[in-house]
Amino acid sequence: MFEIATFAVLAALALAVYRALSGPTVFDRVLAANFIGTGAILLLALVGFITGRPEFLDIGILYALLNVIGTLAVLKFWRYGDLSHSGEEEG
Amino acid sequence: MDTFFMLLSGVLLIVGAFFYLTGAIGLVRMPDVFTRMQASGISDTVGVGFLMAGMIVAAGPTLIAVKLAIILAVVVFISPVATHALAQAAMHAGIDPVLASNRVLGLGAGLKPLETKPAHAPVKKRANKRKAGKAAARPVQRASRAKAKTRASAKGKRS
Repeated sequence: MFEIATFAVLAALALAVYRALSGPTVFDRVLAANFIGTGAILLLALVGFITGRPEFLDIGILYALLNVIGTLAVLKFWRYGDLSHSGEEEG
Repeated sequence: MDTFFMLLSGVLLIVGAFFYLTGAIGLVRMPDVFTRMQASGISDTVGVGFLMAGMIVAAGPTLIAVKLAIILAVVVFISPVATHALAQAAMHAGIDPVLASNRVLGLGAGLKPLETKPAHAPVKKRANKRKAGKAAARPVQRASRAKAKTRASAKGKRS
């Protein structure tokens, strides 16, 4: 069962990579990157179960926390061109 | 009882894999950024939820199950935040959602590539309307609709 779920997640990641490469706007690419991050967490957990090494789950927690930070950072950089921007409107 | 739990985890894993793959197919097939976000929301909630539930049932009452529950909670609470920020940024960049009223000829009409306009585009639109009245914004829409209609009639003649 873990193998079937792993192959399904791998197929989903392939589709997300296609969307990231061919997305017409930058937001499609960011969305696909977010999807790939979630898929990487699932893949880590499933491979950890298959190989009997549940230490991968700690890395999964780290990836889950880094995923949203990366998404927000890319969005902020795209909007302001600067990560240290205060976020206030300039009119 | 052990076989019951293994069976339950297998069913949960297969259901989760199905929903996760469904969301990925929607991510490729949907015509618009916003509909793609909606499709990937299926994967982030139902797909991840069922897969993690299957792994928790397979792990049993151990520390592994607690870690899986932490990952599930983080993904469930943080993924909507990222999607919300993404939708707001896309709206702010001036990407119009493909609505049913914008579709002139049904299925393929929304599939034209969406161009990214510069930031603060909605604010500028409002300023134009105040200054120049209704004449500024509407002729563009009419021209694009006329183009779409000619495209539609040409396609109809071909078929």
